[in-house]
Amino acid sequence: MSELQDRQIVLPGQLLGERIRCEGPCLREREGTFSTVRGLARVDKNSVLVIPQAGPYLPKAGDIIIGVVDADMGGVYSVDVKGPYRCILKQLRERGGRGGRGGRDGPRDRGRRQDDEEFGTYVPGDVISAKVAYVDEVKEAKLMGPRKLEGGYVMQVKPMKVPRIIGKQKSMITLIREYSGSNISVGQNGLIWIAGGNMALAQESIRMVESQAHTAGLTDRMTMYMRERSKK
Amino acid sequence: MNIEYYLKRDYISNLIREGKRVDGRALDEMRPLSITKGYAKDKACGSAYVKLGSTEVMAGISMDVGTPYPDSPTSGVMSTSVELRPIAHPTFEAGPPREDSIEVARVIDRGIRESGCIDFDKLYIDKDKVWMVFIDIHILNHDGNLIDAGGLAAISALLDARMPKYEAGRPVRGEWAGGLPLTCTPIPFTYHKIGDSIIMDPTCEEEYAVDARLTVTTTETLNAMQKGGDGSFTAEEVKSCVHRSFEKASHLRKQVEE
Amino acid sequence: MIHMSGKKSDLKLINGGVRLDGRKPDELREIRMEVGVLKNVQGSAYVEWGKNKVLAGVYGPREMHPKRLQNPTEATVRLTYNMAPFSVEDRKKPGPDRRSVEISKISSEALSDVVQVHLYPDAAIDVFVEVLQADAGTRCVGLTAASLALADAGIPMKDLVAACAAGKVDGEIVLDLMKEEDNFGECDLPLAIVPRTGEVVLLQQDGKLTGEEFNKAFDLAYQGCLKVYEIQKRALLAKEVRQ
Repeated sequence: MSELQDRQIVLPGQLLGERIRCEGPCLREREGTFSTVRGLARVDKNSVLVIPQAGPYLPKAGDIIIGVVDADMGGVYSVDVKGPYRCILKQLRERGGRGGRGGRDGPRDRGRRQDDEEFGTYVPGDVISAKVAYVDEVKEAKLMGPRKLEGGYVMQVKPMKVPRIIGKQKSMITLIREYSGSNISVGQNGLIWIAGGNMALAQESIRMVESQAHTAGLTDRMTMYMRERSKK
Repeated sequence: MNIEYYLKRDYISNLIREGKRVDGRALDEMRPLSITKGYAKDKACGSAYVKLGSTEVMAGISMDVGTPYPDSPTSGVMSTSVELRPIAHPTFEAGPPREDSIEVARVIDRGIRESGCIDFDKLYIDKDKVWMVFIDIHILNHDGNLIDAGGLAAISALLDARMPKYEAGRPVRGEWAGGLPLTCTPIPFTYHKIGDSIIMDPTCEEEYAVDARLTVTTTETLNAMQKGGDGSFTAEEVKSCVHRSFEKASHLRKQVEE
Repeated sequence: MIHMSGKKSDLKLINGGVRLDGRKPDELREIRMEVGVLKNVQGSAYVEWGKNKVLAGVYGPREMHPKRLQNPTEATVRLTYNMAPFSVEDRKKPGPDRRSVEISKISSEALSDVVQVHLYPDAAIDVFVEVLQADAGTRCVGLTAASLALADAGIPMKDLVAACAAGKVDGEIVLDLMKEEDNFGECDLPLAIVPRTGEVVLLQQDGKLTGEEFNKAFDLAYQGCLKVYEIQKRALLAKEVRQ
């Protein structure tokens, strides 16, 4: 059971509940389960979910990230995603493909190397978007499907705010894209690439969403704000 | 290796070439400036907390009795130090001052010293005894233009400072005897060259695109200058910067002297 | 603590249960806390406690340098305590002195107990405490601020760390020494606890205490920590609400 209200802000060391399922950053001890961060608690009859309001970016398989190549180790690149652990970009054998006859994923067989052409070459300072293929035991993420992002501007937001910046069914980011006319790529790691259109409006809008992420009625306020700003 | 340098440099340069800046300011526009004097008034002789945009700097003035320099036996002594505290930027490391912080300290020092701002003769106490004025500048958040922010904090702290009471050969802590003997308010302005354009008050990321900078400190006269960075200025640019400084400084001086 | 060995100042620190600054023996100084005050660090806090003014900032978890110090099983918490030269009446020369190094070490150890370090092997969690104005008890203020900065940065902890000192002044046990009491008193006892579990993560004592006096001072400091904890929590909640 939990004594918490839904959407209550919890703090490190705060009791979430005694015999209840808890997810998110929490610690189970004999007396109960405690939050380990400041965050928003989503509470229902059977479980509590803690959504942290800040924290480092830890890559997981499937994440799309925006990163900056920071070292070339002979065709294997180290990519800075502004997190505590490195990401490595190299031509991968696609790992764990289903492959074979009748495989759901079609004609992808195990061990196909990505094309040299498709992979490209990179120098430190290149901005790329890529997908996290997998994360190994030493927390190093291996990237695949890189795409170089030329020109434009990279801004950094708190990784925990990325879901709000994207919005339910991409509603918020679509709004920002429409009003600014900019090309925008959002990385789960908190790096966002913006190019073309009204870049200043895109940046300001993203900053506003970041700082007001947890407030209600944000989408409407953002719509009004961007409508006003884009008239000028 | 500072990846931000590679990341921002071209974007910023291109934008500046079009006469635009990331935050929409004009090329010679400064960010909002706030000065809070007396921030550490319970302990320091003088202090000031300056916010220039997101750059945050605190300066403190400490005074003690010491011996004068042999070649100026009746003059007080002044020394300026700048610490780029690790809290201010992820690339600042703890340790002895690096060339960056030393240059910033020396540029700010000369701006104050060469203007005759502090009347050193009035700091004479007795044979072999003079007041020593320590200006310590603590950078707390680095978002560019540390020389101007630091210089403004230093002069504001000097204006805020009180002379310690002197009794029986020693300063009496916690008791004061008037303000410091100051004659003028030197104001620094640093001009930054990016390509063929000159901007003022760059943010941290704009500084990655800067080729050269020129710091001009003025009162009614030009008192100190320093060119830094491995790029260059034309002679016309230098003259223009110097002449612009007088007027700009007199505006800013009002806010500093408040 | 500065001991005037043998000589006791003829300054009376407590007069009829009232201290020099008007406080009662078990009263804390006025405390104000704010989080999220600096931009470049990942988490920050500012605490005014009596005349103390202390800033704390956190970077991390981030890649640890030098690499040879990396711990493959857990993150390393490194707190660096630094006093600004102008933070004290007699200017302090820039750079770490032995006292600052010691305070940094014991404070890092205190935080290492609560931070969930096993979540970030090899990484560093760097906390910087900058004392802008000092008036006794700065190690407690610094640790209290550091703990807030960690929470502001979203670094998982089993609880906050709350710190407070007690001491003996004119023979009486008092809470939260100010500068004169620290200089001329008979004992100083800084304490930091994990409020939820009651664990002691920082404890020092210097001066003379009988066993009974120690119990009294310890309990008083402990209660002080619990009061500080309430203020910390309010500061963390306030930011969320204000935004």
